Amino acid sequence: MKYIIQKITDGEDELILRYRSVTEEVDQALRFMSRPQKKLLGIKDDQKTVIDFQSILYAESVDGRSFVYTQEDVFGVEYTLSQLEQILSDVNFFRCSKSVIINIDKVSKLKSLASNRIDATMCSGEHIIISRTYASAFRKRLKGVSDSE
Amino acid sequence: MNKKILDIIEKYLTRKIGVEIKCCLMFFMVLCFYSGYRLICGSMEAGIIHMLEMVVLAYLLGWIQALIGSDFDEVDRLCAKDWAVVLIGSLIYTAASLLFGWLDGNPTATVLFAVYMVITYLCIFLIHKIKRAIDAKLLNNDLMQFQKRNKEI
Repeated sequence: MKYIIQKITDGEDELILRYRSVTEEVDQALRFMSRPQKKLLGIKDDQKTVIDFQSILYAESVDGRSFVYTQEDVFGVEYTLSQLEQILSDVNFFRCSKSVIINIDKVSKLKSLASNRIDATMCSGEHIIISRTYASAFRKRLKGVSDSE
Repeated sequence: MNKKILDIIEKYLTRKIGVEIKCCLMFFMVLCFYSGYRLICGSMEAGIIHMLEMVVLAYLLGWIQALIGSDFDEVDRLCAKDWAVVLIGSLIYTAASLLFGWLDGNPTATVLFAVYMVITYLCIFLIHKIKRAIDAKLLNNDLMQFQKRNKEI
């Protein structure tokens, strides 16, 4: 199969798959393309931007306002942290303190801290503390055990 | 019950259990030295009052340490404040051994006891550090497995 990768400077990002029959390679690409793309509307400098769930590192609530952090940017969002928690619940997000939700897929390293807290280093290098209250549920989530077990 | 009250009770119990674990550990270490000293002196007996003094002192020091917020045994690196806690703690145990006559005022045993207590504090710090390092390794393994599982899906 021939691959064409083209970097564009304007217009919308698009992924086009042209195929004659479904080979294993095509099937993999099809599955990737047909996965639901979940997006969120973020606001930065009065401009609205569509943010892909998977590009979010973590979400934080500061003084009653919610923000989502990606590798490069910070966006304000019109949801409370609890609403964001609901929206992001079927992706790998986890409430790690009263004011922060993290994307577990974007955690690069974990460190055990005193008093059963956990320091999560995000792939951006930022450190998020998982508080004692949520640490036990986080450990269960990593092991694939449901919280009620 | 109100969530705030439950939080306060949980915090208090966590701290209390922490203090009691430390108290048991310190009492065990002091009792080991005391018993060794008694045996070397040719005695097969230990004073119940002495043991009670050790427990009460370990419990009080544990609470003081918790209340002044000095978790020296749970830090990554010992700073000046943590060293001060180690030295002052050892000094208090040594002073108590003289005051309550745990070591019959024997100067050699007292000096050895002071050094032993400093080593005990440092060992507790190292044990906690090693425990956290092992836990971090397990956590990172779980994280890797979790991310691998989700990539496969």
